[in-house]
Amino acid sequence: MINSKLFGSLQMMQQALNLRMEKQGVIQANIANMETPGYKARELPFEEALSKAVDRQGQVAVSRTDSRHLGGLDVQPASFVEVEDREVDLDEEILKLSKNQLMYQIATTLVGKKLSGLKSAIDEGGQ
Amino acid sequence: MDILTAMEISGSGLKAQRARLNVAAMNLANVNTTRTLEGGPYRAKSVVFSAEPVNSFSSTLEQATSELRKVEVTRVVEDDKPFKEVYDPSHPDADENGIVQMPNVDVPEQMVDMLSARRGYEANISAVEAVKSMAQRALEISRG
Amino acid sequence: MKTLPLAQVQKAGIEQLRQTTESAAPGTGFAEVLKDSIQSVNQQMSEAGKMREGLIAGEHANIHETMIALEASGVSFKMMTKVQQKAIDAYKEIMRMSV
Repeated sequence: MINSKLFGSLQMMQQALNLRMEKQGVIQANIANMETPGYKARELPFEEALSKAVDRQGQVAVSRTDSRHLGGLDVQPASFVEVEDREVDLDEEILKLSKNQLMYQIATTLVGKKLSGLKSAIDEGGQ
Repeated sequence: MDILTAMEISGSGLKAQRARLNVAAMNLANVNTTRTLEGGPYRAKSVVFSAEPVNSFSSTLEQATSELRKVEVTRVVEDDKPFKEVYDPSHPDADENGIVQMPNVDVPEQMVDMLSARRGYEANISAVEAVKSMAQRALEISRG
Repeated sequence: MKTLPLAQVQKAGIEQLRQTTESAAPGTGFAEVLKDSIQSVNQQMSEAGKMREGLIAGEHANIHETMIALEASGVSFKMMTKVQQKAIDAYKEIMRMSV
């Protein structure tokens, strides 16, 4: 059980990382299939998916199915994948690739800082 | 999705673009081939791609992997455009009218195909690099 | 104001502390709370360990989730240790109040 008072928004940050990975898959699939006849570009609208995964209190809904994931996620990413009515635009996908990668890296850095901040706070606490 | 699925997807893209490049190169190499093993001039070939589901190696419902597609070269087809007819009576394969049947290879088209395949190949490389560096950053989470 | 003998005050204080730790309703005393926190931290750590083993064995490749689970369980452990330490220090402090 993650004590949400202790970890705060860590759940949401983890969910954001999961969705970034899903989006990465969608982008890579588009790039792989850019010449496939009949293939329509896919999208994973990230902000929408993330906000649906976070309930009104700002906590991530707890998964009932998989206890392996600590305070897991009640989100079906497959349901967020949208099929556009157009073919793959390579330039756009390359752009999306860079952006998604950057956002993922930002998120991992912030998670790392949050965790090390917690560790310091506990060490310093009430000395 | 995870890095291994990503590798599978982009790997398939690299393979497909490489196949396309190879076929274009083969077409260009055979632009003057008037005799083939099957008899007759060389027929231009092209690859056919199709989108296939990925082999999700980590099968949890929480992933969008079921929606993802990799690409596969399902067939190599021959172009059924007619052969070019060239008047060259000195050619060993000229018929009684001095006409030679030349391969139906459209050189500019093949060149464009090669460039496009190369662009596609490089794009898949970029995708691989992106997800690789994401995985490396994830490993560094514990370094704060 | 009535002055009380010091020994009597000390005895009352210790009695109150004992009552707080062994309260009438079982499972709510301080010892219980401590035990629960140890159990939940243990569980968190073992789940994180399972994720790590799964990652190494190639059963899954969810790197960031595994790393977060490992780090978070470490933080929880640290927190628990610190809280226990503080509780013990406070108890010692109270015990030192004797003459």
